[in-house]
Amino acid sequence: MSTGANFQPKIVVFACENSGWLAAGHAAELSLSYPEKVNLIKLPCSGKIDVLYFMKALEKADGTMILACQKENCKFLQGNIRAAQRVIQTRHTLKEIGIEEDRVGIFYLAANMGHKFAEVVQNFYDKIRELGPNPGKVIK
Amino acid sequence: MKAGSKLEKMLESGNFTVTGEIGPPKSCNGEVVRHHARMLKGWCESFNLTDNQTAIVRLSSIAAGKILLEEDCEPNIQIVCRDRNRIAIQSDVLGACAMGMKNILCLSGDHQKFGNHPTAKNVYDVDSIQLIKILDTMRKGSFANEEKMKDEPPKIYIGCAANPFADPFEFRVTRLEKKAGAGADFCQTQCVLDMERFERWMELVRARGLHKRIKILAGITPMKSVKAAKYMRDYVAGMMVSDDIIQRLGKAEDVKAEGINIAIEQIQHLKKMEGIAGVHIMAIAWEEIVPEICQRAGLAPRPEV
Amino acid sequence: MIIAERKPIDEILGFLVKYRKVLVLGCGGCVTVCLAGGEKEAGILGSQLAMASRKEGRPLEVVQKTVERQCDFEYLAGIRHLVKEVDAVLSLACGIGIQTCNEAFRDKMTWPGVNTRFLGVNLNVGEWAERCQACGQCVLDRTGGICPVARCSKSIFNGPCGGSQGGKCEVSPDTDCAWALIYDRLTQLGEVDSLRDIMGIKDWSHSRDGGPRKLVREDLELESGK
Repeated sequence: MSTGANFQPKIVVFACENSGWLAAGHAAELSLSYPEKVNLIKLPCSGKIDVLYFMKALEKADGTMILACQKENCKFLQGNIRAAQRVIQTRHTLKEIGIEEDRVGIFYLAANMGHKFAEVVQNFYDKIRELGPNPGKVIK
Repeated sequence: MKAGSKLEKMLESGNFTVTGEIGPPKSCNGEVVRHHARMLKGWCESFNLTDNQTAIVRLSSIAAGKILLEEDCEPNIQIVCRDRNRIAIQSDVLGACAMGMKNILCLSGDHQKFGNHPTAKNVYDVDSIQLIKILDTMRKGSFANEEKMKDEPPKIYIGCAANPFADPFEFRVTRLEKKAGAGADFCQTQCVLDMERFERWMELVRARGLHKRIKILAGITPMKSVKAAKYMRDYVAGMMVSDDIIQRLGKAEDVKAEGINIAIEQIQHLKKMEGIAGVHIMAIAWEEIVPEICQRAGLAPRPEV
Repeated sequence: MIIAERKPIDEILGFLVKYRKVLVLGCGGCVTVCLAGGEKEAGILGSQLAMASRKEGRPLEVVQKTVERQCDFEYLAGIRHLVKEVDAVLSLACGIGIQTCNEAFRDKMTWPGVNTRFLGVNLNVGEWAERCQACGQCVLDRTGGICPVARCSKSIFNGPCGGSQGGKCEVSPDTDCAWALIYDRLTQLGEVDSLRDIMGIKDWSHSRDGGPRKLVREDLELESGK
């Protein structure tokens, strides 16, 4: 498990189509760059995320996150609140098997925040890089 | 006469009756029981011997009863429903009676959660009221399954507990009525630390004429400290302690002396209460104070019956 | 409904340490409803086992499957081919399902992935409480529909005992005194006088005390089976 400068973590980003997904598009328009090995998956609402999806993502990746609408802006009212709770549940699930909880996270932004998108993803990528490869990764 | 025990004779005579209590030790050292028996002999008609009280393993009630008999003291055996099924209970009753014991109290028993073996299996094959009925059936010559007993039936004087301080308040009297209906001859109440509540309960008891069907002994426990009083109020299920008792103890210079004074005052008050046949003195971990209380409350010497 | 709770992960990993390939078998019945062992939970646990074992350098191959329920042999027949391919099965069904799996797949051990806790009701999201002890002779007709066997800590039939205060059981301030509830309910229904009668001794032989129980409905038995 190489943790040297060569390690390029694989990140799975679940993005709410009302916020994160659009922000990603906005970032693309602005030609902002963010790490390559980032998989973007669109969800109709951050509330659609499930512990199961995070776990399946981490079987193949080093880190995973959900991008949600900011407080009280959820189009479906409580989706972002449920998403936050599921992140906590996932953290607990990882802790149970000795995998770093920080490999999962939730971040809030709005559709027009291309810059924020790039920043959040880059920061997360850097943090995961520091943590090193996911020791539980089943598929390399 | 159901059994002709000292307790029964005293209660039937109409004299104010006194029972005491001895807690068996957490060991096989019978000398502890013998010591208390010798100390308290003559001050009360008979003595309760608790049955694994608070679900803590102690020398058994019946074995302690045998020691009391050897010391010429009368035991009140206790049987709780928590630890034995109807087979063991009936067997123990036959054994206790074979050894000369006559007074048997039927109790539910504190849940084993409170004791030192909380992982034990919880029996409760029968409840306390059903237990009273079993004992009544036995003294009439049959086992719980209605099979006739061989030989003379055991002579049992059946006791029970009553708690005027538990809830629902109005129902507590019905419950005592059920116990009387099942065959209980006498009852000992939870210790009275809230006289007002106790008096209200006694009103309901008298309204139903219950005091004429079952002999009621009010529980008395002298308080040793404010801490103990507060602990009982806050942590013991089914117990109430009135504010004025807490205040009196709090203000007292000699708390123990005040605790004894309160107990004595209560006894004197109860002597005059209609429907009260006597008192049951439970001096928990303070058995040596019982003679003083009896003396000062005018209960000594015990009348001859 | 049967309420179960997933066993601690270390215990489960301990059961499976000697295997290379296991089937994590979920159940679509009660454990799905109480969120302990349904398809989702089987998926999450499967991931956990795969990741944990990979982390320890002893990778475990995990197959996941959820059947309608595990307490009917018919549903297990359909996965026999899956069981053939694995070293062992980890069942997330209640104790009944786990045992049925062991009976159905005799040459492989089916390990328990959950602790079966009790028969109970779902009071709130994530909150269940015991309601029935399957004593075999229901007395709910006499207690206003509140069970003294399951809900009274001492299974008293002529309660409440002296430890009932403020409507709560002496065992815990979170536990309602069943007899306080019964008293209130019968009062509400105008039937409280029935409590003056002594309820007789229970025949526990209908309960588990009488030995493992069996029920046969002769009217349902197929002629051809005889």
